[in-house]
Amino acid sequence: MSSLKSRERVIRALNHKETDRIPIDIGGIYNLTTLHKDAYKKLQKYLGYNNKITISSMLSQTAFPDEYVRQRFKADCYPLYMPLDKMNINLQWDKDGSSWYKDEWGVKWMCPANGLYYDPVGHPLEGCTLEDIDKFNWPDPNDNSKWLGMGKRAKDLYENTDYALVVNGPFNGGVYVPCQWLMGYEDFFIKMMIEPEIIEAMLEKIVEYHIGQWNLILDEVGKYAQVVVLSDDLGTQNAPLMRPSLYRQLIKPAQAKVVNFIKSKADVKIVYHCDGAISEFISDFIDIGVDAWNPVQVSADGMDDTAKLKKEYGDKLTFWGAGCESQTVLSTKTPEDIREEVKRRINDLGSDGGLILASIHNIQKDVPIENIVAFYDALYEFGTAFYQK
Amino acid sequence: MKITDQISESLQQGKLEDVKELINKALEDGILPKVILNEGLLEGMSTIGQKFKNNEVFVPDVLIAARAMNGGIEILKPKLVDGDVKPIARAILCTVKGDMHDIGKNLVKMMLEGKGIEVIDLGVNVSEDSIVEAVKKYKPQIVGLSALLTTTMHQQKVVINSLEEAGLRDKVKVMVGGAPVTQTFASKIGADAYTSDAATCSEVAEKFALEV
Repeated sequence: MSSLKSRERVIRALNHKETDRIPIDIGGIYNLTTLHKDAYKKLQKYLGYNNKITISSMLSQTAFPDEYVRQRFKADCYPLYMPLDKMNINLQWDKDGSSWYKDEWGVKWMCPANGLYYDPVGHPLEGCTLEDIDKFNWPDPNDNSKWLGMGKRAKDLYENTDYALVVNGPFNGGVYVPCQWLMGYEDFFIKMMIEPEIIEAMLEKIVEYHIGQWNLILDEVGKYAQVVVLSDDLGTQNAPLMRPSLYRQLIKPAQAKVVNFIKSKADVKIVYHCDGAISEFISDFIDIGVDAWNPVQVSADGMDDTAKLKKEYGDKLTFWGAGCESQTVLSTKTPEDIREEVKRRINDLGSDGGLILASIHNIQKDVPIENIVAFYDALYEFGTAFYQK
Repeated sequence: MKITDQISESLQQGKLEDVKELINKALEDGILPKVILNEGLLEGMSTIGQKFKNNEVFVPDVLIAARAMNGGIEILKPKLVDGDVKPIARAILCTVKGDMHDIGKNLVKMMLEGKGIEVIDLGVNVSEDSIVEAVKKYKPQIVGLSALLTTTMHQQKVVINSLEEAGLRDKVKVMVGGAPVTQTFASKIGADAYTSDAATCSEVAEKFALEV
């Protein structure tokens, strides 16, 4: 096949058509397929420069890959997201060196001293009643202040680059996960079981916010963007986080509403991020209209057999990620092992399109630099060789 | 069905009010608080742990069961006499420094308590020095260390080294867990046990407790 432009390559892959080579994403999903800032620093140094790093996501402290990195490793995707300065973060420091801030919802996020990310530690709606949800000062779904300027940037990127544009929206794409931020994990899970009406009421508010915000975002970028990111965790390392029936009863309908709205508003594909052991939910993703699934965490229980996943779901779902097992292989094995791993995953998942290669979650600072480079180079090398066989 | 079995059953379904009611009834019937605790509450928690391990129930089910257990224990507490509830061991638990994740640790806590082990929960982002201090202060038999991240799991090794330096390593069994942790890693850092889920953790801890 003759050489394709990045955007065309990604669109074809998402439509399950073969391409000249398998598309690569580095940082298109701005908080999930990139590198932690410390790993990125190492990469810059290896490549022989030392520029100021743009943090793409406050929570995951990830780097926005620059043009040189995208070109060097042949990345095909480009993220559209709300820059940090629009979040108005008022960072505070505790005596022990931890830093924290409160977001516009009143959720407190904290990063321990020398820590890597921010996690939710203070929950404004912990122990809430239906009345509390009603009275809560919900941010206005129709406030467009965060997304102003995104349309102009999207138009510019659309007209002047070949990249596939990936839109990252409110709550990092989370539909139910923000409920956990607002009320705390344990309270959320307990309420799911004993006061589902409270969860439903909160989900209604979150969905309303999503729809309002996506309406504004897609007014701005809908003409130019190819992909929208949604994200909700449903798995632990070895099991579903909740009964599938409970997910189907409470969460799935809320996710479906958001998916339906986005698809009715713009001609985009939806990539849904969900890591962990989630084989029981994959058909649900297809069901609600998700087009691609990230990151295919092969180290979680029941997820290692990528050939089987392709056989079962490959005609309906694009795999976005899956490049190399990250918890043991990428961080601890040799470059040669990594090349073997990348080759294996491509062989399992690459036929008939439906694969966009990326790291499984962000590359962390404990990954040796030679492994990072071997990994990205292998994506291109084997992703090119695969269709030329 | 025996009333203690009914208590166990209701606990497994997370029915707090039913558990309370049944406990009051059992007490009226003259059943010893100790029997209610062991054969009703702890038995129920142990069963839910098994089901959790087998993926028959999930995190939310365990949380509501633990909530029912704690509600039941509140009623029993004033009625239990010394000796009835002597814990089989004491454990300190925490998520290691640099890591704020606590769901796994909290599940382990619930499961250990379900085995009759007293748990001192040091919280999240706990330094090796604080752990050493806590071991000196509480003299636990078991130290449980949780880490969710590939970048923080190495802190488990730091803690083990610190316990060694403080001359406390052979006084405790160190158990490690968390998503990226494996048996190979646990052996490499010299932990006494790795378990992949909270229920198995409580079983191994119980074994350690009985050995001591």
